[in-house]
Amino acid sequence: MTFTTQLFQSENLILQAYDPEKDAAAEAAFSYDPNYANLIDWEIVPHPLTVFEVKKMREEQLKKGSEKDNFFLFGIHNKSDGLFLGIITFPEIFWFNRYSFFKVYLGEPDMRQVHYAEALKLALVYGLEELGLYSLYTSSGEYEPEVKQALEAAGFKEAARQRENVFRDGRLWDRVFMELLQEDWKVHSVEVQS
Amino acid sequence: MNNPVLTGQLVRLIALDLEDDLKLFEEWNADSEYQRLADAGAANRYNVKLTKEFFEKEIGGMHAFAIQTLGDDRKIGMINLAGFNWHVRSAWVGIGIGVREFWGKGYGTDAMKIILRFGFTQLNLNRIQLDVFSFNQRGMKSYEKAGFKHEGQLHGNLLKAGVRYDEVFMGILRREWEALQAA
Repeated sequence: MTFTTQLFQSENLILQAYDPEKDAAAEAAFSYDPNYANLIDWEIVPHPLTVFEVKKMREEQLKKGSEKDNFFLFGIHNKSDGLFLGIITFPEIFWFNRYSFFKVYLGEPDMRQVHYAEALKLALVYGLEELGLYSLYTSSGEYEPEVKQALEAAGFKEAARQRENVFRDGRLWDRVFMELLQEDWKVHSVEVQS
Repeated sequence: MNNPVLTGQLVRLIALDLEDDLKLFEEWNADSEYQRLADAGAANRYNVKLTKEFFEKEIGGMHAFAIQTLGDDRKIGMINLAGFNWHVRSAWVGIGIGVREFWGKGYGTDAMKIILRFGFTQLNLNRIQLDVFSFNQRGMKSYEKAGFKHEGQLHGNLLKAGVRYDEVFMGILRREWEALQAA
């Protein structure tokens, strides 16, 4: 038996091991976007981060993750020129229940528009087909409509809505948990291909 | 000392005693059903020394209380607010009634009502949330009685004995809690 699916590359993107020495500076620049902050730390109050902070947090996460084998972080790069575009992260996999929260993030809004769906698919294939998880979930909301729509297009369904649990642009928004079960992913993938 | 904010109809909430209460936690945790109701993690036997070290490290970031009966000052469980998000003024609440004879008799609901009052009137929270597993119908009914509303569920997140159960999310907003007090 051979595996024909390439987990770490798609038409335009390639996943690399995250390198704190090189990638932290780019991530620090992304942190001017308030929706980025939760990718570093769930509880963090969104504000622009220093390179030092990002590097320190990522190094600690990578070290802890390697000890527990429940944390995965990839750098998303442009296949053509190697440019660092963003990250895919599975911050804490619950192995005994076989599910995980995950996030896909692309730093530049125009890159998000062009490549988000492609990066999302890489994350889903890795989480559901390589890690073998029963389900994946992520958070989104009406404060980032393009992300929520891309998740829905990939087969995600709204699972829970924590009312008034996000603050952006002077008002409270709902935090929406979007989920995709492996069984639904299989059906959705077939439907999309056919 | 009786603090009216922390005193209900059946129980009061008191600060943890990091010597004696940890022995109670060990007793309660010996009941694996208690652990399965309280936590998505795998039930385990916890070393008292390590538990003490955990609380000594984390206690500053949480508001954890022992639940004590008003009738005979017996400690029957614990309740805590943790995972504070001061940006939106929200927190997670966790509760466990360790002594089985107090299950299903209103003690947990009373403790939950107290901690909601504490969270909204003393900590200035806008939102308090919890998660509960779909097999814990008694817990869900208790949280509804305290004023929590269902906010959805992650399907099949919990795997126990080969069966998948939902992780149900519930939450209450300050204005909803205030309306309940006025009613």
